[in-house]
Amino acid sequence: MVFYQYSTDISPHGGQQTSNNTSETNVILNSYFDYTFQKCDGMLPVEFRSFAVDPQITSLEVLQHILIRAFDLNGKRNFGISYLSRDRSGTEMYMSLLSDWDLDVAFVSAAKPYLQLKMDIKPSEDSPVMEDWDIISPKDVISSEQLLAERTRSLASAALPFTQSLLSQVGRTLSRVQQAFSWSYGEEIKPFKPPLSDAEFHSYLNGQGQLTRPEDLRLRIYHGGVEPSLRKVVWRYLLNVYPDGLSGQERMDYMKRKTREYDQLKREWTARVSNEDLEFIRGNVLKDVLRTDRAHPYYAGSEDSPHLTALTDLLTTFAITHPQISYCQGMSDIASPILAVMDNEAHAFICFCGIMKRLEGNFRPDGQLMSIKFQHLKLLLQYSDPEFYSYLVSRGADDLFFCYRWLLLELKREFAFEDALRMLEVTWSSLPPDPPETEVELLGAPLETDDTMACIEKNKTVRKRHMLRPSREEPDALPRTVPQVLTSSAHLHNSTGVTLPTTSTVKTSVASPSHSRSLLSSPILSFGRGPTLPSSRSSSNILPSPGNKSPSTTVNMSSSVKLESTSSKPCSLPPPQEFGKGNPFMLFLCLSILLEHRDHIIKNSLDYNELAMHFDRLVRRHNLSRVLQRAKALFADYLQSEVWDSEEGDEVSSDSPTTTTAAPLSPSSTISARPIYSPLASPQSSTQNSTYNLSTTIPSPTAHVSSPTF
Amino acid sequence: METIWLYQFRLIVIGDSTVGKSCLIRRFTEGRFAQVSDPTVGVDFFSRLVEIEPGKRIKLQIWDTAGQERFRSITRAYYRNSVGGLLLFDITNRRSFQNVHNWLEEAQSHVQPHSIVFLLVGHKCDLEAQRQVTQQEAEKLAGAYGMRYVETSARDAINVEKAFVDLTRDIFELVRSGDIKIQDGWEGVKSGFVPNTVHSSEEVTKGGRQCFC
Repeated sequence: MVFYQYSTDISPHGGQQTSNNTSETNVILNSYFDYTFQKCDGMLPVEFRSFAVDPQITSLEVLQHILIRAFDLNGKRNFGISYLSRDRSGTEMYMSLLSDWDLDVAFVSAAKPYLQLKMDIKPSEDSPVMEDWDIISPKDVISSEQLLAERTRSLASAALPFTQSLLSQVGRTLSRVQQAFSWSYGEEIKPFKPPLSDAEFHSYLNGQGQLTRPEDLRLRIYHGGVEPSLRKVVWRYLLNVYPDGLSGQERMDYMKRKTREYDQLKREWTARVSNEDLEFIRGNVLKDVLRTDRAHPYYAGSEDSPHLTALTDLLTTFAITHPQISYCQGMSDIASPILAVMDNEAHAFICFCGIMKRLEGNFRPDGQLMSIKFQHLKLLLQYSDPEFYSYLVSRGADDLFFCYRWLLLELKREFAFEDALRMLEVTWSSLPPDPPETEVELLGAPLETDDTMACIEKNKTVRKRHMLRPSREEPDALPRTVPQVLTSSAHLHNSTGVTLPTTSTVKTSVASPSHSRSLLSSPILSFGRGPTLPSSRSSSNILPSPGNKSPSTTVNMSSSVKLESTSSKPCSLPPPQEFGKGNPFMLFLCLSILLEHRDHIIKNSLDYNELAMHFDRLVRRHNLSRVLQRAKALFADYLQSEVWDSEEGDEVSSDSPTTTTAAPLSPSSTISARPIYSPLASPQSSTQNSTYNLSTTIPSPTAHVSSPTF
Repeated sequence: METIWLYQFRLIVIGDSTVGKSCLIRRFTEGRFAQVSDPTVGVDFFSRLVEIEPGKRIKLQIWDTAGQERFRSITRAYYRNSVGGLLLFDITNRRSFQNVHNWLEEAQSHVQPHSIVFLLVGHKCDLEAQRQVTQQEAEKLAGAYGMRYVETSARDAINVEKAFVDLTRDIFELVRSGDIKIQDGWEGVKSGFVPNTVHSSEEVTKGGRQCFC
């Protein structure tokens, strides 16, 4: 293999069209920068080419494509680009161009009046650039395999660019660490933990193989994720597949039984739908499966691949057995990582049913659940960064609809596949365990028809059991353990009128001096309590108050949200069991992505379309560790500050400037200790173990029922 | 660097799922054909400049909507601020052609009080052997709604440029004639940065608008 080095010069020339080689590179963007390519082929003379594109609408992906076309690099997609930059002392140096960010910087900080680019063919397949490429077609996978074979024949020639690539990656890591230090999170941020290993996982099981500390396990995963080889096992817990208390043998029997159940459902396709409907559903599913994560080795290659068939069958079976939801685009994105991890169609289906209990509302045609999630995200952004929010308002972008895909797919598509796996498991572990009472139901509710109101009622009961923790103890029993506390909170809506203890005695004043110190540097604000909202809203918003025997009132979520969002600056946020409709942490991941880019957006005065395009270009490219770190800090800040709505919350906060913030809580108490759930939240109960502090706090799942989407 | 364009038009691209909306747009904006592209959920965003006459550039902002009915609640929000639209069907998929009428109704009911200049696009015309919709009947349907009709292929880059540029020219003429006006609070057409006084915005402030749906 020949080591190529290309140079590209880009010079502005006043909007004049450049015809130089544009036809050859087939660039059809209008031209404001003139690119000149320089090609060094071993010892051969330098070769120049040039064309022009508009930097405002040229992404790195487009640029890479142009370069491939320009130099006929098909099959050698794995190249690095660097640009000539000038530092403060005027020294010229090449900087890696790995993202659209870098490209923007490159345009601004070019050393010359034009931008000079250098290209290195790299042997490493997993370079950032390669990830960026994803795969345009399955053929690309084949050609990169050919590249591999080619590489072994010329290791020496490949060594140099490989080193450069390594160096550039190390450089990036270093700067990342520095950035992390420069964020004044205070001591709330725990150092990153390594992923959960098999040996460590076994410490959460007892002699019979029962999982004894499900909350601890989740906290552990929240902080470090899971080793890839262990995901197959651990994800089943995170996706609430297993009922509580199964021994190792029982789990195996359980999975065998559920597998047989799945196989049976799969045989019954035509018993449930007509052949015509089956063909239609399967056709729709297949079209999407054939374009879902095909860059990943698991799904790459031939369209006859058994993995693609498994994904198609899984989704088809789900659509047929869940006629109320059927199949919707985006579901393939949810199922794909699960199947790739499980590597077993039936197991993946069981897990998929587990996650869809929580996510099916996203895919309902009425869009109500999504609109509540949008309102919550909007509220959070308005709360956290009023300046950026105002900017979006000024651009008419405050509907945040450009985040639709984020919320629908819980950010799955925003990260490269392997990063997405980590992001997903961390997110799932931020939610409290919600195991099925007896077993995961693989069969959804039948289609609602006009003549079966009773049937609808029955369905709702079924789904309620899905969504919320089942009640096994007496409704008014005092919470003893964490799961029971969660169960009680899930009971809120219940007509028994059982509620959790009132929060007033331990309510923390978030406006107290201990909190006025912003945990995060500007523009991220701490979640201090703002001015009181009109009482009409607080009365419409029911907070869990355990122990109170007052009749429970169902909360009309959408109306209370609307009230909140109409105020110019929200002074409080929904409580964790409502925030994000079952996944509050997801909102904070979205928020951190927005904050990562807010400076760029404001500085360049991007309009609606431009900023939406900016985020579209970043599909599968977001920096997971940055986003996760920031999201965790923001989430911890939110949980600590207790800015969410509560009855009497405001007066309490002025009375009791207590500081649960400083007290580290044990893993088990982090849930039970939430003042909002239990009076056990007093500081003395939270000193048993200082492994985790409040930044690890986990909110309860959604405790609210009145939304029609459930 | 300031991009030099006379006007900015916002276009919406609609049609059944998997008729090739995203591929058509990517071919137009990025000059390539993606064998595999993610199913669109919600709305994706694209942009490109086109030169309709020497020196007269129009910036197109293109909204790529999800075709599946499930996403109507979000895609609906985008009709109002669009001045033009490409309504796609797949010439190898009769059902997608039969749905053209529904798409127009959907658009019409959500674009009020504005209107959208539509172009009917029969896509995937490279797959002639699998054709299920004849050019004649598509032209007839387009004529009945006062639309132009064009057949395109993103794979073979047939008429892709033409589809977008023709639609842009049509809108430009309507803006020039005053039939389409720039309005505050409406993002369909915006006046851009004009390097020379080729056109002043005065030309577009007179006249009323017609419904082209």
